[in-house]
Amino acid sequence: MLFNSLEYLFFLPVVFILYWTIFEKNLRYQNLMLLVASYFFYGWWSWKFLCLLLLSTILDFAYGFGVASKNRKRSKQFLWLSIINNLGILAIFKYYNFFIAQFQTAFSFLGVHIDPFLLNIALPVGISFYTFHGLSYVFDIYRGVQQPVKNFIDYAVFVCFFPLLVAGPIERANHLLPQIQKIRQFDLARASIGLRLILWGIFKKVVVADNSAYFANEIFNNYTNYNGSAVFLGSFFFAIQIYCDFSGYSDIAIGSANLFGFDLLKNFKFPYFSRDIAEFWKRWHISLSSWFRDYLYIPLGGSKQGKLITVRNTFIIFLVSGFWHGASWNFIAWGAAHALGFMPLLLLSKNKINTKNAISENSIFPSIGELRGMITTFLFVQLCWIFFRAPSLDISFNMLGKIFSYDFFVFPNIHTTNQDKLKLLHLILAGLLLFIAEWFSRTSDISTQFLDKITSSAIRWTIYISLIIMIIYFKGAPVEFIYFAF
Amino acid sequence: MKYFVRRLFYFLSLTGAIFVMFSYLYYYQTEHKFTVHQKINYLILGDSHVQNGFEAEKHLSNSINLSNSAEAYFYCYCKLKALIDKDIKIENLILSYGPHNLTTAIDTIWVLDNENFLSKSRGYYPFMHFNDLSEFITKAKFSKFIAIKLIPEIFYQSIYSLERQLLIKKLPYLGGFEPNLNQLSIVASDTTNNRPIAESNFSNIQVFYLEKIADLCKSQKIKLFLLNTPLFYGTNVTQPNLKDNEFIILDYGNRFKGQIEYFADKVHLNAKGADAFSAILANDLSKFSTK
Repeated sequence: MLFNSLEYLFFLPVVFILYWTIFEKNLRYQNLMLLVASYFFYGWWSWKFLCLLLLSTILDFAYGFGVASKNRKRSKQFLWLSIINNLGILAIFKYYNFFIAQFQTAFSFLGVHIDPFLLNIALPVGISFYTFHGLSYVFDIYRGVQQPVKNFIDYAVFVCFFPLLVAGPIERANHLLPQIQKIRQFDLARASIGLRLILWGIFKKVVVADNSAYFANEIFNNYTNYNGSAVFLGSFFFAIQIYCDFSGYSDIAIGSANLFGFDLLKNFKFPYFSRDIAEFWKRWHISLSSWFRDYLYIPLGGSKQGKLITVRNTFIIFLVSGFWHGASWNFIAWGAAHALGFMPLLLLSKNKINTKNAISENSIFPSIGELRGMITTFLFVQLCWIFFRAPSLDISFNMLGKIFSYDFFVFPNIHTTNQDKLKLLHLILAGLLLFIAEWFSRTSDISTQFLDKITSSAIRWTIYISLIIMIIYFKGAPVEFIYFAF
Repeated sequence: MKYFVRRLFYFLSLTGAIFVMFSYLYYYQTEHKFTVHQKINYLILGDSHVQNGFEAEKHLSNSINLSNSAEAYFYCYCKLKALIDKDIKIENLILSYGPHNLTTAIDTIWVLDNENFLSKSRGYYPFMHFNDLSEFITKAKFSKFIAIKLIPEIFYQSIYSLERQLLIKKLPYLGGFEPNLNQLSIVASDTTNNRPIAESNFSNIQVFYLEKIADLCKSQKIKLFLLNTPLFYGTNVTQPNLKDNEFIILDYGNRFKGQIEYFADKVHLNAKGADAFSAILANDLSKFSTK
């Protein structure tokens, strides 16, 4: 079930009403209700893969008791079993064909032709997310920050709570499980924020992301027909698309969870207002980057064992993070490009100067230095997105070649119909609204903070209704959430 | 909780009221501004073949071309019925009837496609009878959700109509002659678009609504012409089986065969082709009326 679908429009209120009326008084019933709703939500897409989800949940739940063993050796054995189990699922369903193709290429260099067996199955939606939930649980037990959960339903809700099941945010056991184990009382303020986030998330996805996708897809799919400046514009559209697509999804997820009395981890904090690449990674897909920091970077030694080890660890997490997104060299190149962008800051020990506070926290407009940092960071990130979006490395480099040529200084050779011009006009209007709203919320954790500053209900309602009108009227052709593919 | 639900209810009611207001505005405008002569000599309905190919208003008095791109026969039927409901006397109906119109291929893109259904129905809903819409949804085996999806689409159409009037001072038009300014330049070897249809590939839904149009014409004493416009590769059409209904086939499939200067693509006439063809067709129709 998609967040921007009609089915979800019916599903959410029905679950909400049942949850806060029939099951309000009893924690066990509340959780059971959420579990059934979550399985229904996932099963709507595929009942077959629901079995895989259930199996993964049962195994990690069982491993949790083993990992909690006081016998350290036994605990470690169960930890490895869980890692093998979760990464094994990922390896089979997500990476098998990629690795086989690499073996095939390697053998062909040696003059040996092999004809391996390839899997022809769809990637189960959310697999990268729920396996990471499971891993986070056993890692936290192993680290001693989480006790194994005795109630299977509580644990199953943690793994498959429907707002975060298919594309995150990637939750931590020690953050979400205590909320699951405590009875929820209806909180008016939280529910109101939730509804606002859902509306704002739909606006970002349906209006900004889907309309940007129209132009980005055209240019990326036919890049040979376009000059350097047009290709540059294509990457700009994709940068806008992926941000609004994924942060829109996260807003809807967090907003939906708020309606049920939960606070999920923040996933985005206005990343395109970052002044350097280190700040960008503190603000982009926060739940994933902090997951890698806590469960990979720090166990590898983090930044405590000298510059060389820090550089190695930084490269590892960027490359693994890239590979997590998909079984392709493009994602690895995307991670490597970011690692390279991060290196100068790390080597000059400047990677933490902009991570403490938000841009121009005490003024409306940024300083020249901040503006320069923001623009250069955005341009760097935008160009890196080419690796992410292009279908192959060759094409990525060809597109970059076009941008870094004299072709860039020619007016973009994009031929637009009247319909395209209208679509672009709508996109610019919506984009401006988004930019202004986010700028005025930049010091907050919530992307709809700007609405809290408006005290008049009438003005707020006018904004909500205008957003609904824009969603209906400016909506682009439906495009699936990008992160569903991961 | 009660306060939250109450506030939400008020908000949704207000939003709903605004939607209804806008939608009624479009309905009202369509009902009142969509005017044609009380007596139509020739009414032209169908898809882009006749929309691009026949400028009826220029060549035939009291005529109107209301054909529209990618229009299945269901929508033609709704338009015809709406005009009859307005007590407009129609003498002749010229309906687009190319080799493609009754194929199942058309079903996929014009009849069963959700987007096509929503974009057509949101504009035509003031003309549609609820029973007809419901029958079409059942016949096309659309999901029951499609009717609900139509609600925001109708609202979309209302805003679209408003924007068009503000920007270009014109209501969104429900079809009409539109010259195709493209020019066929590459002669592709593929002729699939013009292949005569095999009996097994007939679209049941298109045939069903063609029959309904023919029945309506019969009951209203409207002379029905089925028009096959010129095709670059030239292809004739087969006779449809319309029971005991009378119709005349105007088959111009081979008229401009191979004359590249008249075509925008393999199956659509360009502006020059439309001009030449309209004159020929008007002349031939005048012969019918004098017989």
